[in-house]
Amino acid sequence: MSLLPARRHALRAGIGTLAAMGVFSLWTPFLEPLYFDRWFGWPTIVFSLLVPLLVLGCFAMLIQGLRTEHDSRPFIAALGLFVLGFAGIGISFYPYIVPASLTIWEAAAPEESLAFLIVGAVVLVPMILGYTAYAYWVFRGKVDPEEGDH
Amino acid sequence: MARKLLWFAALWAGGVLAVALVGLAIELALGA
Repeated sequence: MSLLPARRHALRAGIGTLAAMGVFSLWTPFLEPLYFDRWFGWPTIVFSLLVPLLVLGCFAMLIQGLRTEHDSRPFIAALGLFVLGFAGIGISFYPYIVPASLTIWEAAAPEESLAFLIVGAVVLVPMILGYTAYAYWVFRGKVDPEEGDH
Repeated sequence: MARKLLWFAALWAGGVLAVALVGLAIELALGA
């Protein structure tokens, strides 16, 4: 299989990412009995098993996209891998933000401050999502190697 | 181009929604 340099890098980085995810996934359940129970205990295993299955699905999509030169597929698959990675951390840690000592609710600010903040968040979060989407849209498409400025 | 923009917007919105749903699923499945 002969690939362009960027696709070859993507393949190597993808394999590295999957290997690192595998090492950490096998490691964390043995750190705390709670994590082990989340990942391998019944009935949470039904839910948590989805994560490694979807990771393999994303990885297959990444490889397949690179092989068939379908360029948006590896990108979406890579996004999926990272969403699943964070979901995995969430499954292990929930409801802690500092494992075994501080839950999300203990770490949260008082109700009044949160109520004040949500007013700003309701306006700002859509704006942030909007201008990030706009930036992605503006820089869409391929770079022309013939052109000087990128 | 309009078609491409529509796809892009749908994918973006779908991505945001997917991340929110992942959080909700964890909360519902493991909720204290």
